[in-house]
Amino acid sequence: MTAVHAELRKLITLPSLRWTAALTWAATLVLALAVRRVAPQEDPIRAALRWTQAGFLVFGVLAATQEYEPGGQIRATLLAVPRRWTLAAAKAVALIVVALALAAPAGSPYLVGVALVGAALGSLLRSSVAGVALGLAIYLVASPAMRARLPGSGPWLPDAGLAAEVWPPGATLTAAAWPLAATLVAAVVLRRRNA
Amino acid sequence: MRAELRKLFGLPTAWVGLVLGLIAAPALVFVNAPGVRRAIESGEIADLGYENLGIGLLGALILGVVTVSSEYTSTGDDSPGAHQMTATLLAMPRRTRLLVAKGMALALVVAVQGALTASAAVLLTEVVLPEYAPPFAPDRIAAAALYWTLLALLAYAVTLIFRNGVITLTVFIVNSTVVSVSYLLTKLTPWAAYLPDIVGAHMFLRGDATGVRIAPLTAGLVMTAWVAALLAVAGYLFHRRPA
Repeated sequence: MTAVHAELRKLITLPSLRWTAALTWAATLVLALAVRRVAPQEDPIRAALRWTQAGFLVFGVLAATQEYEPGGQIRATLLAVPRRWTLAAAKAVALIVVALALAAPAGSPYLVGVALVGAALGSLLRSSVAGVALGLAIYLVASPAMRARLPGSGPWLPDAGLAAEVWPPGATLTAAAWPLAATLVAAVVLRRRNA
Repeated sequence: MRAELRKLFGLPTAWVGLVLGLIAAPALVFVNAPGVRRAIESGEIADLGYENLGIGLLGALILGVVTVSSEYTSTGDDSPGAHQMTATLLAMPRRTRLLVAKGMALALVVAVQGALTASAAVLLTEVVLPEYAPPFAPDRIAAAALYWTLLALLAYAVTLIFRNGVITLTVFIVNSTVVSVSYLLTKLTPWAAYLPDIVGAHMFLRGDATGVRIAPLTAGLVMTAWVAALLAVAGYLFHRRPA
């Protein structure tokens, strides 16, 4: 519980994360206004999130890579919480709590999943630029391309949860499976690899 | 200049950018071929071969970003304040010259990459869809390569301004997705067609997805003006700020 608390404080007090959150919502609102004027029949927030889900991804990546920034904070963290499974779980819980609060206005738990995938990529790659590039390429380039090529793959892609208005059981499963799998892999790697 | 080229080729991330840029567009020709065939048969005319180049741009963007961000990542865990930039500036104290050398190295690499990729994509289109492919036009290939170069320089300038690769990557990747933000803005005001990424595409695309048509030459000039302006801002800041 103390570990969760510590991780929560890190997430809440880091300036880069605050900026990411603020910019994400500012961009979403601006785009939502634009969407409402261009295509009034669409839900403006949801349409804008097609782009600004990137902000949640960046948030997740930064939340993980801040530990690996110059200075190697991860060593201090591991001295304080040497059990790595505990640390991975505490980090995931803290991120879920913060991302839930951030995503609340959109009412879309899918965004929490995006942040978790971002965090997993960040902790696997240990570099914010690489994590952001890979994550954005998956969500914004590869997934739409796959959907255009094989429409049948749509419900199985990582970004399937965004489009789903009503969630059939299959979509819920996919939306939960990607972040869960990513987080698990990241936790196993954190457990096995040198810090 | 040679030093900057060697640095660029020595970076593992730069190779990721190079390979991604080279492979993605021609690969997409194959991936998209059935969809494109359907689109043509239903009567829509596409800029075959050229449209796929948009994805390969990611490679050019990554190159533009890492030329700068690699200088600002710290050299080791135990020396958080040490950047490669300090060493670079010791070797080359004139900052404007350094910027020009870096920009030229980047432009050279991306231009070659862009020309190769564009030719490959167009030639492959002729192989995959022989009946619809446009004739091989060197001037359009050159324009596409120029577009890549300018976009890489744009990423270079923006990264220099923010000193942070994450911001640049996010903005540019989000904007280069299937439905770009700039495209949304063109629906709001026709002036948005003059945003750098949209206007630049007019240099080699002939279809008018935005409803506004701009002559290739004008498009090239407008985009060059954007790049020049941002590079000027970046150069001024780089000259003034402590490294």
